[in-house]
Amino acid sequence: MTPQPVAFEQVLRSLLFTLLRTVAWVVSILLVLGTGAWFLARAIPLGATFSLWFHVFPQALGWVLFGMAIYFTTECLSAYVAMGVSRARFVRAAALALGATSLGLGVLALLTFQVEAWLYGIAGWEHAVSLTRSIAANGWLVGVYTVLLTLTLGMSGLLVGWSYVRFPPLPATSLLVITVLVPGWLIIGLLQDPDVLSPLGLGSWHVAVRVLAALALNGLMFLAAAGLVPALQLRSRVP
Amino acid sequence: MNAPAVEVSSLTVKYGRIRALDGLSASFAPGSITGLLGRNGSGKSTLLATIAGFRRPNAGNALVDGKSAFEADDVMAQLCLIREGGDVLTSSSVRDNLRLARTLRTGWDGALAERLVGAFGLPLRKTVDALSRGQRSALSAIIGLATRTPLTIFDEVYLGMDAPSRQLFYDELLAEQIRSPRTVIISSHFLEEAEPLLENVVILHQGRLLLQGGLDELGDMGARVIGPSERVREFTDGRRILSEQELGGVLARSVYGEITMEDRERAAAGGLQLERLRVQDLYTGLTGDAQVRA
Repeated sequence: MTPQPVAFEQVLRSLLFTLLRTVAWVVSILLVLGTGAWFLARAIPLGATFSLWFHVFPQALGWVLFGMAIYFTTECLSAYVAMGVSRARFVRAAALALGATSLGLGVLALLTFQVEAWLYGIAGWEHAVSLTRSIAANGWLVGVYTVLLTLTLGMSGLLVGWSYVRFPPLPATSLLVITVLVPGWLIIGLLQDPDVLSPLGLGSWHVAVRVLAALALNGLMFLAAAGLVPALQLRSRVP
Repeated sequence: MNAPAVEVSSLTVKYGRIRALDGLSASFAPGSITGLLGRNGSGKSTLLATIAGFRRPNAGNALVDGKSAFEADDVMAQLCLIREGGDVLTSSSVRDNLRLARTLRTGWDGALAERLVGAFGLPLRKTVDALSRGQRSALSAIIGLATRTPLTIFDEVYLGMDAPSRQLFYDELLAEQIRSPRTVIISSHFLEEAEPLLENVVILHQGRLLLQGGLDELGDMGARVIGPSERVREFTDGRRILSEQELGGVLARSVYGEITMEDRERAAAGGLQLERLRVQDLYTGLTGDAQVRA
């Protein structure tokens, strides 16, 4: 029997499994810490006036996806190529795995944000995204925010990983300005505007444009990764 | 499963200004085991990485059954390159790496992999990072054997393995080759050990092809002359000497060049023994400038 190229779904599934295993571990830790913090704050009593979860969950999981995307390109890529998977298929599968995980994290952020609102309600605390802004009317925007932030950091991680495989450490580190700072600055600019998370909601053209711009930024980063990774020359890593 | 032929023509690969391969042309016969020999830096690993599509050449071609492997899924599925670095997930366990191979390789022979893990004594739960170099080489060798790809390439894969493990690898490779012949390329420094496996040899030197041929053919490119020192010196005078060993008045010299019937008769008359040239001597003699004397 002549060996056939493995199905794309298999590549995707195996990367998704690796990603979800790490994400599940981090989410579990955050849930335990968050619950512990709630009990502690009630016992002291300390109280809270805004959502801690909103300020921890998307950022923490975003950096997890960033790290995993770097792991994919610097560690997994050569192993998958050695297993007969082309770089082009690998980077598509990696981006899709990151995208699917971002969506899942968006839903999870939404659910856990509601749980946090309920816990705050029990304690009699105010549940806002910051000291000055409430999100009660448009809680689902937390999900959108989480998806866009984690996806951007994931795509950025793919580019960072590419730069460290492609270039020696010094130029690759210099490229962090383009691979991390620029997308980071853009996504913060797009998502941290008070209007995005204001009670106006996504129906506002202002918010919709910003969300679309964030998606376009991710699309561009994906296209860059999909164009650059397949041209990589894979050096041997002698132990 | 059809074992593919590998053809390399005018292949040039550069690292910056350095030419690792310089217009190399060579061929690897389908369904046979070919040894790729050369000194450190001769371009062996670069050649194998280019054949397997890990690198793109600057000029020329490295084709597997007429197609380049670089980013070609259908060709990549037919071949497996096992490098010294072992392109495996180093922070994952041995079990996870084998699971990945099972997922991604459609021809994966799980029973063979399981048997070899036992034979090499590999700890399944340990991460690759925590393995000794020999164990890591064993993992790579298992992946190479169990993927059962029509073209399998081992690049210095058994470095760090102890002698029994290397012998096990040779035995398993031979058994696999008898069971279902593949095109196998082995780059090795343990030539004396691997020589019984080889059917063909390709020798590189400074990024170029030095010699290529069947083992028998190369063995006829000269002779190993053994006898009393003075008579051997007299017989080999004027020939290119590849290597020599002297012990207690008996000298063994490997010489390069045609041995005619007349030479054989002269050797027999002088009480000299003529043996087939060993590839090891041919390789070290022709690539080690310091040892070559004309």
